[in-house]
Amino acid sequence: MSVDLAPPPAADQRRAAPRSRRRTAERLAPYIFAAGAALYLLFFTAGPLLNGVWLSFTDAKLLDPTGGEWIGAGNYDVLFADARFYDSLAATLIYSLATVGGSLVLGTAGAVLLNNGFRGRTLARAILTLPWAAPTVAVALIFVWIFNNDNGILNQATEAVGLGRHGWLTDPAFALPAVIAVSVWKVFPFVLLVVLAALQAVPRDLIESAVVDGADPPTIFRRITLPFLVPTLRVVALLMTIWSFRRFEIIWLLTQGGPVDSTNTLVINVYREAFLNSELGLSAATGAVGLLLSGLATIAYGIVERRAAAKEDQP
Amino acid sequence: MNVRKQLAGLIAVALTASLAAGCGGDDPPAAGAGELVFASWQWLEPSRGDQLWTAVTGFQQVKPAAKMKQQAVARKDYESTLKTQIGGRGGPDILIIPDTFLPELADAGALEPLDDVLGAAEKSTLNATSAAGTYEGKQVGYAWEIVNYALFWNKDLLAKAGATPPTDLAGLLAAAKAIKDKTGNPGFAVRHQISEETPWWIDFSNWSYGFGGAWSKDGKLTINSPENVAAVTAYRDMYASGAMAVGDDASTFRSKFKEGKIGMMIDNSSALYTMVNGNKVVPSTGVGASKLPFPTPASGQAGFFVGINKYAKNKALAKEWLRWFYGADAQQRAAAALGASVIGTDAKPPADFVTANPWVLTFQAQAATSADAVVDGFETKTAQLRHLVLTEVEKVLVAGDDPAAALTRAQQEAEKLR
Repeated sequence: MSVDLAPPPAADQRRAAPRSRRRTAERLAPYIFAAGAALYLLFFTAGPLLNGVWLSFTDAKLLDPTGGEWIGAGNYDVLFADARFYDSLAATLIYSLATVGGSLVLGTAGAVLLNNGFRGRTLARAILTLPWAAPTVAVALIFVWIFNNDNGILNQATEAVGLGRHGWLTDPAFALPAVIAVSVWKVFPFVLLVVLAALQAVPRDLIESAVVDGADPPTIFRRITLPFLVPTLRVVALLMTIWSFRRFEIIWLLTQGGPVDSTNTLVINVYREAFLNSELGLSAATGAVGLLLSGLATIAYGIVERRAAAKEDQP
Repeated sequence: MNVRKQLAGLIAVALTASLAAGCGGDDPPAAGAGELVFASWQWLEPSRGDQLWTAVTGFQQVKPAAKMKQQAVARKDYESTLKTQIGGRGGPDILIIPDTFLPELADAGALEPLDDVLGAAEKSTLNATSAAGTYEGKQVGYAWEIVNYALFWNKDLLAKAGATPPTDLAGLLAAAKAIKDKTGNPGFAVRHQISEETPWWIDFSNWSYGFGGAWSKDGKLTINSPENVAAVTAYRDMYASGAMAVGDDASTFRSKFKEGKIGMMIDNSSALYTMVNGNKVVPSTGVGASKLPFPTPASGQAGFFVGINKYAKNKALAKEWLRWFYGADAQQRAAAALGASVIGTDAKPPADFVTANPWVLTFQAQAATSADAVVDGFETKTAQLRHLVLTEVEKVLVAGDDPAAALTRAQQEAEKLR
């Protein structure tokens, strides 16, 4: 007796349609889930970004942002012919390098320290992460008082130890280092927290074996811990670099770019041109250069990542 | 099917609601009714802010349907905040306009022309101050207050230092040093940092004008004129004397003066009134004042005008307010609240105010020889010129640059401005 296992044609048609719809839905699902974020980025990031680049080719003013006329590369000509732009670029690079370097060193050292067991570790972790959590405006205002020439606690301390008083925020020789110091103090806990998390992935047995083999702590850090941290540090360095390029509030609140433009980074210039001088087009051109810098940092990160991956793939 | 119907229904409701809201939003408020948003930094001033608000909201008594609302913005952020709002076709209905800001707003067409707003009766009571509220022949603002500058001192500190009120630069330096040496307090304070660029420009103009200088003449920039070089040199000498409150911004050194910890200042009458009003440590009668201790009697002034935003939501009512404000009653209230300032009409503060604040007359006398900090002939470029000049002045102060060389650099850079 033969049995026909094939479903009746009508039933087959009934099942095929929902299956096809399901497949389509499955294919579309990732796009639907990503659509919200993509639309958000399109409207709130890509749109303003492109608009900013467009503005950089116009003579738009703040009081009439849509009334600018196309002037080609006029704003870039003005920018690149101005010696102060190069000073500003230099200030941005020095500030970013020092802030990123300082916070990476301090953050990594703090994380390694806090990764060890000692009494009061929880309290130490809380205290060391406080600067990251503290509101930037409050922090900046407190530092303005700390750096005050006449009544600031820093000058009282330096005077007490015979180093004399200094214009921490009023002397061009000290202003940029002071701003960098405050920035590092404010952002290093971010590095600390990320590195502390990464340290949990370092295999304890490897470290214990090294200890048994007689390796000292610096060697253990250099040969075992650091290689595990490097990928994390690369990402953190990229983020910190981009954030440093565009950090505004600490610098503005401490010095507003002065004295003598010594802390006048590109972002301060963007604000100054747009909101003080009303030159929206010129401001956008300065912003475009800043964007280029961030793009270069990202490309450099990509190259380093690719080389590292290629190295790992080698037999 | 049901879902489609529900969706269609929702869209229809949303469209109807938004259309209704849109139509409703365009309806002009009934005449004499509605909300008037009034922008100024002065609402934030302790004590005086309340007095001023009471003076301007007297309008609500004659127009009960009008509701006035403050937009208070800190002075140093005032221009940038309003530019952003007005650039977005929004902002307050009525605004106080600093003289250095007026040309930029007017040039962008952001101010409502006011030539036909005041009647003949109101116009006849205006004094000369409102002439500066015109731009390219159109009245775009009427004088709110003209604030003059003078030298003033804490009598007690000067006496403790055995110093006499200075009448020239040498005397100013000597008195400041004596105060610093004898009392340990800074002898003198004035703005001197780029972080306060906008108000510093007005303050610094006192030195330039006092030494006979100007920023332009006959349509040409005169930034590096010998008079301005002399002014910067004098300013540098004061800064480097060791007796000045270096590093303090205005809010800091004003707080110190209020606490009796600063000897002398060059500042405006509004600031002085705010510092001494109700102050037990340094009462108004404990302050002496004189013209600036510079070679000429000239000084700077801060002129503030009241205007109407072109993009105001309630322009008709704002104009009605303006007509009311330049009436005799409102001006008398304004004179009482603005105290030491010169206002748009000849209304005077009450006699007891002058008796309680004897320094008022010194400031008012400066009106005859004071000038604003707008660069004549370069009105809309004042902000850029200001930054160029003050950055170079800062180099003289903190980097030891030569005043003449610094101002020559500023002049050369200024001439390149497009």
